[in-house]
Amino acid sequence: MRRLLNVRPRMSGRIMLGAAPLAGALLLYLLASQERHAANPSDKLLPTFAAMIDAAKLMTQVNPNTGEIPFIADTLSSLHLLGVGLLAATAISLFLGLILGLLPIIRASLGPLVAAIAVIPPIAVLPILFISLGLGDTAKIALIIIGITPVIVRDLASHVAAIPEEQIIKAQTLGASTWQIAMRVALPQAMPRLIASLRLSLCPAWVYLISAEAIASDVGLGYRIFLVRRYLSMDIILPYVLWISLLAVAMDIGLSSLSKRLYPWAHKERGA
Amino acid sequence: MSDALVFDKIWKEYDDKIVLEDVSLSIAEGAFVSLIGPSGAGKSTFLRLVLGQEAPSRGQITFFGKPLRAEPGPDRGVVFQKYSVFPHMSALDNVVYALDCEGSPILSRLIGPSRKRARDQAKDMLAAVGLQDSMNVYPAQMSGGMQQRVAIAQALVKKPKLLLLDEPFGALDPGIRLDMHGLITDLWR
Repeated sequence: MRRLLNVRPRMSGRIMLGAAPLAGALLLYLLASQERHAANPSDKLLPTFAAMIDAAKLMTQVNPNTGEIPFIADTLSSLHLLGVGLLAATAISLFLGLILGLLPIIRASLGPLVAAIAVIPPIAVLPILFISLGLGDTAKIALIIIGITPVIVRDLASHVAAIPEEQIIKAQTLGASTWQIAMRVALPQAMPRLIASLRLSLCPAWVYLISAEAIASDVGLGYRIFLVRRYLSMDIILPYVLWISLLAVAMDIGLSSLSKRLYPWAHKERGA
Repeated sequence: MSDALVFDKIWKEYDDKIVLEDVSLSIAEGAFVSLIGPSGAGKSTFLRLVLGQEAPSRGQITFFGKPLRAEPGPDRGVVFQKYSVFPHMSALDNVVYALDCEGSPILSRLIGPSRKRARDQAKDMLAAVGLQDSMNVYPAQMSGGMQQRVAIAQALVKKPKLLLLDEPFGALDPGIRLDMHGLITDLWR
């Protein structure tokens, strides 16, 4: 008898094994939904797939009052805020992470501040942002930036600081200046880590966006699900949650393949 | 031959622990010197002092007649036991980077004809250490011996007045170590 930890599924088997829990969950939902509808045909908690498709159709039609398709408007608005927030957070993190990791003077002066900011729960800052920046897009983008930047900065700084000292010394014996070491030794080695860190920050970024939209907004994916919650419209909420998950997965895969394409050396160490 | 490196009554102490005690020596230009001793004897400390990674507690180091600056510089090349090459650059880029630093202070990357010249120079250097067929390979895909060859080429392309080797072949297997000793001896001559 082979040990359990030595049993490795083949490719086809792996797909089957991966799909089974998903299919199981779907089946469970179907059965539960059917049961509830048998007892109460107007049940709202576990809508049938037909009801969800109807709701989805409704959301993708032009709203005569606003002239917009709610689903498209929500998606564009959320992706815009998320995109701007992620982009700004990435730029700030890259800059701070590099100088914190590379320069002992900066680490001594800014390190404690970054560490202090990192422990503040971002949602607790949200009221301050709403008061100081207003209820518009700025506050929501600021929340995303404040929420994810400190974590990425600290991760990146410790990664840059962990570049073997031998490499830094070696670069100096090649005549490299601080700037040339930052640009050619630290920056390229920080990039794959930045992308990895950004991937892990996608989920918190969504959390902050949806929280901010839920509290003060008139459009957006988070706004919509919290709006229809008042009517127990699970038939809208569930497809929206599914859509948000799909967007998040697409971003994650996109970042991962970007890293593999731009920095192949960072993904070769194992099994090369 | 003149003295390249002179240690004059050098002391190195960490807190109250004395690592180097009153070391005086002079090394002639063109000499090949090996430093041997049990671990903890202060070999690495000696190397760090020559490299300029640290300053002596007392005493004066002279390098070609001038006091040694306590900072690594292009006149003293080094090959460490490991982490000597940049993992994110191919063998060729590792060597070209050494030339980029001198010629491109802002962009940190040579462009145009000077880039072509630097690449040719780097290719010659890699060929000299026997890596003419592995120019575009990344260090992670190389054996330990090949990585050390890249590190040597990278250091030598700067034409340092002094090449420091910190157990450069310690992590290699005996057969390859013999090859590398041959390589270093050839390059030295």
